[in-house]
Amino acid sequence: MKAMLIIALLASCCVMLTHTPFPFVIPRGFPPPVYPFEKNPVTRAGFELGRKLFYDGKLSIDGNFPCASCHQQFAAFATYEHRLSHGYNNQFSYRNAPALFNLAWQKEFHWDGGISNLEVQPLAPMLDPHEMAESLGHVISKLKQDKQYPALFNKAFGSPGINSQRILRALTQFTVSLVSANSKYDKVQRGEAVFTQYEKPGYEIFQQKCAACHKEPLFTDLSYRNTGLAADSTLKDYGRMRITGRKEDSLKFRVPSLRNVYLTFPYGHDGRFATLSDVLDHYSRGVTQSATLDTSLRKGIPLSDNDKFYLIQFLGTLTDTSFVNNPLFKDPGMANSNP
Amino acid sequence: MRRLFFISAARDIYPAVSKPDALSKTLRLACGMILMIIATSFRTTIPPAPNLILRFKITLHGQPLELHKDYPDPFGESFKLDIFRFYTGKISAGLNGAPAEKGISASAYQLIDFADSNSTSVALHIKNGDYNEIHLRLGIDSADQTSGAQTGLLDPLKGMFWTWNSGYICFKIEGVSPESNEPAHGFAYHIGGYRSPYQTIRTIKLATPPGRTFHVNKAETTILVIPIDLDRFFQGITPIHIRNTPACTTPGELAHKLFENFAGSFTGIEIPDKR
Ligand code: HEC
Ligand code: HEC
Repeated sequence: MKAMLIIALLASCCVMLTHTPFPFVIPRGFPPPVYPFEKNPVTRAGFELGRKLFYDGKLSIDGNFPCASCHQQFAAFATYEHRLSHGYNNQFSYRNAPALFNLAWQKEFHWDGGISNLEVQPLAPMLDPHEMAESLGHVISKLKQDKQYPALFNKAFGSPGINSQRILRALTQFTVSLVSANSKYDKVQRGEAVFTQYEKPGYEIFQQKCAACHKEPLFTDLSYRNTGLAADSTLKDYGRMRITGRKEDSLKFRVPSLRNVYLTFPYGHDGRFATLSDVLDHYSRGVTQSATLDTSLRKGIPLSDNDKFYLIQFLGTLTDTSFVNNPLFKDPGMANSNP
Repeated sequence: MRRLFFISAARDIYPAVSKPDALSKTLRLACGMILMIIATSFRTTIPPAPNLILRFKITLHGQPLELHKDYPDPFGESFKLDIFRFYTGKISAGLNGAPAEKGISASAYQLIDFADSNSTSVALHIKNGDYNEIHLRLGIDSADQTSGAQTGLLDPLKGMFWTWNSGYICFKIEGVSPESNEPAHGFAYHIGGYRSPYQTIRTIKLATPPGRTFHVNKAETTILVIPIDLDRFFQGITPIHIRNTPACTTPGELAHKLFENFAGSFTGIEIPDKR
């Protein structure tokens, strides 16, 4: 019995070394996260492995399309300046790549909510012939043959072996750790900064006219709504209806967060709006009527030119430079040259 | 009992640590976890040896159907099957509708794949007795549909997972037919979906031929055959002509109808003659 306890103790020491927990801090004022961390506890080694995978072209068929090719840190992990992203063989993604942050608070993913768990999300781009165009079996065998990965998986999961679950969980340990909550807006909430004379009225207009859907502090209520964007005739994207098969869900898309919105242009599920002014013009005079249009938008959202100006000033306070510059989230291959 | 003892032992190792700093907390947690694993491994008994085997087979016009061979379907359309796979689980045996005895099997789900003859039989342990029913569940529990990255038979590597509308394909048929206008004359039914009202999960109850029972005991293994009748699949509640419906690869109303046809193609239990 004693011998066994000693063995157990030694074993647990080894476990501890590789399983140093990686702190997930819930920002002040945020609700509890919904991602079930208990099944995939984030550790330093798991996060680092996930980060390496996120930046590694090996996850795509020709090596050119890592996750990071479409999700760029300086654009808050959206694709900078692209309506649709580029994938394998000169093809376009079906939708505008959303920014990636605060995913721990989301139950569903993608513009239509088709993905039910963050862990299985990477399967969509990896296996999509327009994006990374890979197969799961092939990715596993490439990683197994690699010089570094077998040891990194061992370190992250406490035993040797590379399988789909471990790849997906490691990627998730990285993406779920992308938290953005240190913008000027947050500092104002914490009493560390004050809005300017332009931002303040912008915030008030925002609370009146936008916050019902773009709800604080996530700046989305995570619901699916039709905001009067007529379907593009080539994409024929009916949003949520593609997932539920229900007519009532036609043209509904998930309300996107507006955090870091200055960095994530172009806007909308198909990137049709180049600028924030275009989006505001849409709300004030571009809403297309249809059966599933959100009832609050039947008459559009009346906005004067002043309102628009103030709103845009306020939206600027949602940029979180400490997030987009955080060295923890950078390409680990570049990390050395960029201390 | 033993498990409890071990955990309290683990606690007693560190009575001196008064400030629960992060390090000792991790150590204690990890230590406790290891002890628990050891303790449980002491308690787990080896699952009982199987005494009942279910062999699934596909039939058409009363004859066994093989993959990669041409057949006429009930409407006279020629076709051949290349893939036939489905998930089942929660298998139990019953007698005249009395509460069923749960079968104990190696895993919660079985993936029956007719391209892999090892997978078309399921071995179970069932309490000794006489029975005339098998209950089995087709499809995947909704909790398992959304619980993230999984391993074993639910590994997405098995090709039974939709990536853009996450969820398991619970039943997959692919083949070729000159009637199909799809590329390369292929036809494909990928059936699944867990969202209301088009859930594809169902427990079906299969019966032995009238008046017959099967006996399960410790001494020998009982073998039963479970036929899946493709005539009934094509001519089910919703008749399926390959020409008109060469593909169904998303959850929804059509998938749900095809699932009904699939569930209806399980006709009962065959008791093979003893040699
Ligand atoms: C070719 C470009 C491309 C690549 C490569 C790519 N993505 Fe994406 N990503 C997108 C697009 C486009 C969407 C939106 C998809 C949709 O809504 O249908 C998206 C959506 C997401 C989302 C959901 C965000 C939300 O708020 O719902 C996550 C998470 C994500 N990607 C992570 C990843 C990971 C991890 C990888 C690498 C395994 C990856 N992406 C590779 C383009 C890409
Ligand atoms: C009825 C709910 C609702 C209201 C009210 C609303 N929005 Fe939106 N907003 C959405 C939805 C849904 C989308 C995504 C639309 C799409 O692409 O189909 C969106 C998209 C946006 C985008 C594009 C973001 C991106 O990353 O693509 C911006 C910017 C935006 N809204 C700002 C505002 C502002 C400012 C207001 C107030 C004047 C406002 N919204 C009011 C639901 C709403």
